[in-house]
Amino acid sequence: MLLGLSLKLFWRELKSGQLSIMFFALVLAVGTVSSISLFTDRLEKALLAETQEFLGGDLKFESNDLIEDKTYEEIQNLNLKSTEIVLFASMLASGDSLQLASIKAVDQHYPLVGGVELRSKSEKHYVKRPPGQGQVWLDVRLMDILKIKIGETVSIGDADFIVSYSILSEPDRASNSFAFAPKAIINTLDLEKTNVVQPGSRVRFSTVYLGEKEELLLAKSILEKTKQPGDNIREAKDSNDSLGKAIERSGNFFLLGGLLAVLMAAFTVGMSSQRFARRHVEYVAILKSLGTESWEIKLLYSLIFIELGVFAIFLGLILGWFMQEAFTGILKQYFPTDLPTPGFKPLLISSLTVFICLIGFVYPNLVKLVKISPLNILRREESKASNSSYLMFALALSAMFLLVFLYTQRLLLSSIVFFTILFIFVLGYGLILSFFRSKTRLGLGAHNSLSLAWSELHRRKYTNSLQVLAFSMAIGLSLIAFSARTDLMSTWESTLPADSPNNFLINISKSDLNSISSFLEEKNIEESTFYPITNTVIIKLPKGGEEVSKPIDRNFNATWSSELPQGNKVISGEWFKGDSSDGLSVSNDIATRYSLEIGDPVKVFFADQEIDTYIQNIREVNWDNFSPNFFLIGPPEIFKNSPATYITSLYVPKEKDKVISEFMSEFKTVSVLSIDAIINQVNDIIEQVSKALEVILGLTIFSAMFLTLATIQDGFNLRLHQSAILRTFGASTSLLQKSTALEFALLGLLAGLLGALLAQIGIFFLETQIFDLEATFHANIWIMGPIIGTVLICALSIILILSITRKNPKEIIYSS
Amino acid sequence: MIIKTRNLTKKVSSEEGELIILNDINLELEKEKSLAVVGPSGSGKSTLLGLLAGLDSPTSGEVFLNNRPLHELNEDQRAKVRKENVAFVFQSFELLPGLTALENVMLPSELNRDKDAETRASEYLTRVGLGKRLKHYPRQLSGGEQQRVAIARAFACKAKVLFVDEPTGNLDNKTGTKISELLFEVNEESSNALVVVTHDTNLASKCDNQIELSEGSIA
Repeated sequence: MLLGLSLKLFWRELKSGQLSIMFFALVLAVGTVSSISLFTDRLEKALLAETQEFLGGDLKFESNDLIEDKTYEEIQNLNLKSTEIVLFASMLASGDSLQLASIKAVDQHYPLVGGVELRSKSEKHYVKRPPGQGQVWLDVRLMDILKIKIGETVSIGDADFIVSYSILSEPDRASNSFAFAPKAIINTLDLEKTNVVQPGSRVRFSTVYLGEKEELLLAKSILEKTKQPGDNIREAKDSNDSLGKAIERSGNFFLLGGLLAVLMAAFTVGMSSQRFARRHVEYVAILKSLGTESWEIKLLYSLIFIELGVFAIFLGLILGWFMQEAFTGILKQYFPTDLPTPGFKPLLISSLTVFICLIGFVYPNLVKLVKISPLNILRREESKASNSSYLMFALALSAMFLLVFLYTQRLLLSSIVFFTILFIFVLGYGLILSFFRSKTRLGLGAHNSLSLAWSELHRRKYTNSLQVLAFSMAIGLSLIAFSARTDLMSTWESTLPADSPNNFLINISKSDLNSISSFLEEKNIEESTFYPITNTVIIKLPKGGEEVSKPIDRNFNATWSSELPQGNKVISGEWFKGDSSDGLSVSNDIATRYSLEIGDPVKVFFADQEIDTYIQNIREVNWDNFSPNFFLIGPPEIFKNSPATYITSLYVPKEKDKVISEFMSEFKTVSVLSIDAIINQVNDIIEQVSKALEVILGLTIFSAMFLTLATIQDGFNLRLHQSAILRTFGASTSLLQKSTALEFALLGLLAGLLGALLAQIGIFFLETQIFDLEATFHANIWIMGPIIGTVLICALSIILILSITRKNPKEIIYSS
Repeated sequence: MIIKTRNLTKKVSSEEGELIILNDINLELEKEKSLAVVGPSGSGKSTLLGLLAGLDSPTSGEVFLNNRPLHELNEDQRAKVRKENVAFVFQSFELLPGLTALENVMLPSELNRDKDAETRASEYLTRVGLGKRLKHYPRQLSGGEQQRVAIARAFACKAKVLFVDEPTGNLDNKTGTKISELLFEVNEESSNALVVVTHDTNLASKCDNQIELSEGSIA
């Protein structure tokens, strides 16, 4: 019976518009949260699928040696699917052409996930098998260099292979060995006859596993036990994976951006439910007088709000879906594939958001409503201040904290965000309130519209401060996003020196050095230093009291030079002197990360060599100078026998753009990275992400508007009554209209100015901390902020002005 | 004449068709005189008060207030006439809850840009016995005290006609009697014309003239 009555009441209230603002605020909150979580959920799923394909499976073990038999057997017992891959560098020969290539030998289980995209003479093929025996698949680049076609023969070591396909894309691209060299794929069964892999050859063995989570964890722990320096274990669902972390962080960042919209929606819901409760006082009195028990009334109203919540979730999810489709549309070009369908997480987060809002901001009003005695209600006596005010406050704060925790899912971060919000709220609210409290003149100020407006602002100072705070935050954040999209990037670009390098040349072989120098000289392009690169692994050796050596678990691309590279500064120790044959130089961030100090003994592995040396100096590196920079540098003497490829950077003026195309066609094995293209792409990404962020902030502005509508609605009857009294005593309609318009224009102006101030502070931090720029005054935001604030809030006031001046004062007085 | 009506009629449309609220009312009131409008509920007393004070416009007929033809004026023009000529005391006091007693009384003077608004408001509040409650808000005053504030506000206007609608309707007998005595006392001092709508025969009998309304017509 109660359910039926609650549904009837719910529909009646919704249709009459009494629940509209609360309802739309909730829909907006769900729309905001669900759009963000739907988008990030789909993106995370796509990333996982992509990472799985990138690794070639769920878990990958890479080593310079074959897995020990015992370990191999232990893992075999785990019932995981696996494939073994052998990677090495070798020369490919076709007729007179020779080219160093990265060879990947794969077994019959390859590929474990996804497939290899190949091209025959004219058609594309997607295959899930290794190359047949005697066949090789080649990179298009490699085929161009060797000038061979499908069906022709190439030699790898002692064996000949027929080129059956060119490779368009392949899973298992996550190998960093020989990554710069063009690739060839052969079947493992052909490996022996090539005679290329000999004891001492530089070979990288990879085993990729696919299976259930628990078994993968066991396999990982087995591999961890036998892991040697230079070995590498990677997981598709690796929490340390930087991209995964970045997406999670961006998701949290967007949710926190949306948090403001949700909190405003929560305040709106609180305010509207207060009004709802006031309107239902008589209804409750009648129900109580007729003998309905308190618990039944509480249940009845709880049901109404649960129905409201469910309906809001339903519509909010639809809104959220369309919005995330819009985000997907905006950022589509950056996704490798179509995004997968979402899971249940967005529904869960949205539902929890609604119910936390309802419990934190509506329930206390219901408790208050149900507690009042019927006599109090029928006599319209004010209830005494009760504990429910404290309950209201405590529940609202707890709800706020829960919402923050729901979006960050980290206790410490939630606490920081919560107290920061609380601090900003108290500070901002206090400042705005003190501004509105400044009025001292007696009376309503009804002698002219400006003083009446100011007096109104003063008298409604608490709700006005809340509105101004909400709008300032929404406008401020929107202006920051706008400024990041327009000013900051162009300012940052303009600070780069005009002749800073704009192209990197990578993967240069020693034999190409002279011809590249001649080419650049001929084209009148100034060349800079060519740095040799080799892949190294470092182990920190025991020192003093330490008993066990502590490996630095990563590979470094090291270079060697007797000169300190430009943009580098030795901050500790000394640079290599003369023909020094000992000592290493590390960048300060690496030194900090791995606790390396001057004099620490280390062992360096590179090519087939290992050398004992020590940390001689620590450098500060300017990573923004667009020159090749290195974590690790050694004196040339140490690396004199190491194989190397070379890297350099150069400045090519815009008018000589064609030189790069000529260079690429002449030096096909050299990779060219254009900084301009990267900057353009970064610009583009910032612009697209800002657009997505602006959508979220647009919702925040809508939330602020709902909050304002709720406060207007809350005080509407008082305003109506006041206008009737004033008109009865002879106030003209134009006085009331002008004063209301001025009141809201002042509110909007103040919100806009504070929003601009907030944006200027935010941009100051972006300029000085992120972009390393000099702080500047942004006149445009100081113009836009107040205009946006005034226009938005004035637009809202029109509804109010029309409603209060349309009615006859006599009707208002006699109906109140 | 301060008030004069000719064939004053007010009709409203409803779902059942057109309703005649007031029909062909002709009356006159001289300056400094008082008029009581009595009659049962629904007889059109409050509507008549609204039309005489310029709070509403008639469907037909003429109404003059201090020689101004209210029936020809729009809302803003009528508001101007009200500002210069009339004051009100309502049954439910109609004080603004956010203003103190003093500020409520100052309100009409503020609308007239009267620089002595505060002094005059203070004097009238003292006159009605609330000299020590100037800074009290309506919620801090009893019903009788609130009606005294409303009376002080009406007289502080320096209006030519005071319209009073059921001034004792929300008060107990004893307080009601005190309020009606106060009303006539202050009115005598201020030399206003007075129009009182009431059920209270005692209060009506204090007026110079009386009319009784029945179903929208003068009985």
